[in-house]
Amino acid sequence: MAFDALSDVSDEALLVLYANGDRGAARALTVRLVPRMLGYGARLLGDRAEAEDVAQEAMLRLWRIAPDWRQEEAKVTTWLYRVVTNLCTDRLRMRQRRRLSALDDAPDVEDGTPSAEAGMIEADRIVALNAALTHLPDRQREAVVLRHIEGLTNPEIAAVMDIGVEAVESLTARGKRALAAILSGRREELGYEKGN
Amino acid sequence: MKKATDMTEHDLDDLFAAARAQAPLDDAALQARICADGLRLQLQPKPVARHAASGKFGWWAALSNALGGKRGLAGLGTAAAAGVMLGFVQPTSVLALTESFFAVQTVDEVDLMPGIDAILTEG
Repeated sequence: MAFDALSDVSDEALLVLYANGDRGAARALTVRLVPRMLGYGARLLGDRAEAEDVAQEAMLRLWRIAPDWRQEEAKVTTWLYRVVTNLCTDRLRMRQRRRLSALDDAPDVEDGTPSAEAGMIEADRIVALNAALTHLPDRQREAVVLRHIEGLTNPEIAAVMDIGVEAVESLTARGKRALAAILSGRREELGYEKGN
Repeated sequence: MKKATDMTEHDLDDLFAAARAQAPLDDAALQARICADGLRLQLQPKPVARHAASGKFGWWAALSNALGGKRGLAGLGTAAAAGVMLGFVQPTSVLALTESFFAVQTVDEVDLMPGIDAILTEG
């Protein structure tokens, strides 16, 4: 099927088309899903190169499961987020075992930071946020990123993380409080003025 | 106590919004690799079997498949031919073997339908 004709087709239907040999579906799924999974993985790992490996591995698993995919069971994105989450968790544990903390691998917040007087541009705020995220416990980071950046609903996050909705709410609330604590004292530096 | 320099809920929401608005990470080379993986692993559509489509040899095809296809049929035919040959030729080694099996077996015979003479004799 032509690539353009697939723009309105759901992920699940695309996967069925892919399993039936439609080459356009493979391209459409790649374009649609890889940037999201890459971004999510990069936020969990704080490392772009590792996130690329994770995205490729997750998509490889999607290609392999396609012939056995049952549409009624889950959304493709939920399934993929779960796979990426698990792969990232494995890598983070491996890092800990190698005594390489997430903090060591995180981008340095101070690098390239413009002066406080000039205020930080938006990209720098994002760098600061990503660096702060790497300081959160794994589960809190996953929940916060899925809820507040990836825009998933709490039930969707519960499905991804295989926990209850109440646990998701608790994790996101604690994660936000922890983020605020990590970024405490930096409000002005991040360009937020009094009264904003 | 919250200080004026601490991040507020609103500040955090603003940071999240900035992250959401960030252009998605795009990597053409990575996408090309992943798409190539997908195309390599993609199952090709299976051609429809000629006999099954016509229906002419449906039962024969089903039987053949049940027996393991051509190889299964060949094996079955060979075994059947060997059995027939052994039955006709009766090699001595096989004869000795079968006799050794059946000669030692004793079976108590019970006459379930005795003749009238036997009943009269026993009274």
